[in-house]
Amino acid sequence: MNARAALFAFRRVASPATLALIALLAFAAAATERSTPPALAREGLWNLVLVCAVPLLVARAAAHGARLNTRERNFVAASPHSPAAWFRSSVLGLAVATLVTLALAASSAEFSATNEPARLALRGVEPAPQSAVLDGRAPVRWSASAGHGETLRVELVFVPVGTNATVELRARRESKLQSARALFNRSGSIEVSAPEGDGELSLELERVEGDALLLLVGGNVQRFVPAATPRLASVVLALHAGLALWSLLALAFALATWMAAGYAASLAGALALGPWLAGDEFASTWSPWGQLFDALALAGKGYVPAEPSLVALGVAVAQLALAGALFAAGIRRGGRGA
Amino acid sequence: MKPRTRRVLWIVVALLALATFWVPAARPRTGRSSLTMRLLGPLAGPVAAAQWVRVDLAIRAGRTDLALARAETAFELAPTSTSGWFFLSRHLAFDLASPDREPDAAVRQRWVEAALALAARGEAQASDPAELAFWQGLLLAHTAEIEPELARWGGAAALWERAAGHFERAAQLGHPDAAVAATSARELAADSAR
Repeated sequence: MNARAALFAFRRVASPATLALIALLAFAAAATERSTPPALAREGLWNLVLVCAVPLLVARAAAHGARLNTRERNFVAASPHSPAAWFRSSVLGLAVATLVTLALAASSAEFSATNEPARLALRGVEPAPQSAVLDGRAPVRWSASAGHGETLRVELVFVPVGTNATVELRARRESKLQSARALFNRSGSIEVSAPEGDGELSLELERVEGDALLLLVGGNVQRFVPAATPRLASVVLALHAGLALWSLLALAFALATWMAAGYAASLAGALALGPWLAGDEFASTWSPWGQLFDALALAGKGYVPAEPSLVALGVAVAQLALAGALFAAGIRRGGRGA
Repeated sequence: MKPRTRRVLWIVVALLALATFWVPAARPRTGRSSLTMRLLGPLAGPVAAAQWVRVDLAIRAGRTDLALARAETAFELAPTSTSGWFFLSRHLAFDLASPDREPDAAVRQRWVEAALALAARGEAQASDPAELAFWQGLLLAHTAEIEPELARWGGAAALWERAAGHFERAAQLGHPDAAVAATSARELAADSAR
């Protein structure tokens, strides 16, 4: 490990001025958002830091990679450390830069999110009928697995015909029944507690009153458990953002040994946003960025999102490995245009 | 760029960004985070355009639920986009209410009503309300012509009358073809009533 290379990467990517700028923006915004609902303030603050910091850090990581392979190439070549060691050390520096940025995001978000009631934390999703329509004719029925103490939530989208609708969600296990009713005059969600027992859970969703039309969104039902503290939302968001940002910085840094820094930053950004722009639903299961966007949306609705999946972790590690191979090959190949 | 110039530019950027926090936010109808909305600022249009691409992909995948949910975000970001309102209303009317897809006339009518309601919402917010008023007239005229089961709407004459009303409103809003369309629709309503 080359400690100087790590420090070098950290200082160049997250210079004190950069961090001061991010902190100034985040805390100034947090001060103005203290009167907004806590979940929305949290989502807004996280969005603010990500929108402001990510492009800046990615551009700086790419610029650092490009410099190492051009102006500082002789210095790197003369170093007793191999390109792989340079990469490992630099990526460590990028990890520290990511951590500091996310710490700023989390602390400003939690500074603005005050007086928050108890929250639910996402534990998993169960399949449900896709695009099922609630039009008052027949209830939508399906089965799911959920333990006692868990809360089930389905999201409904309001079709702009009619004025409103009352929807009932029933969860039945053996002879035990739990039900909940909600009035919809716009899109929203309905929650019900899972009844006691171990058997399979039957779910039934029905429009019981009103003339509006509603559709079940996403083809799934979410399972929640009580969260120890609502502030866990920022911890989970930091995990998602850390995974996504760290692997992105490493990729931009490595790509810049093959092309101009601007192109490297743009390409890395396109690879990160690609699954979202493509509307890929599966991005939510495999892409660290897809999972981050979903987690931000859920946090904005007042829930604690689930931790990153193992698949997303694997994708991030694979991205780091790819970046390592690209960097080593780029350094061996020589400066741009060589 | 000289380091000093760069530093000054960064300070200007920071001051401009800070100023946005005190700009009164246009409160969106759905009450979403005003900070997120202000943050998007001039990028709201391009982000909404990207969201429309995702709406289209959901429609192609047959996922009406996702299409409608994504469209809500796009409307929040850019409520004045006439093409967005038109695009989704057309999907409800021509895809979901198509006799090839939906054999039940009552369900088809429901989707046409939803398309009309969506276009009416758009007319109140879009930059070109005349186009959306005209579209509502066209949709009713199209339904009067192709739908054999019109009992629930009161028959073809009632549909042509409603279409004429939309065309007249579109003409008042400045649509160039709406006055002629309104006259024709009135004539067809009278013919159908005989």
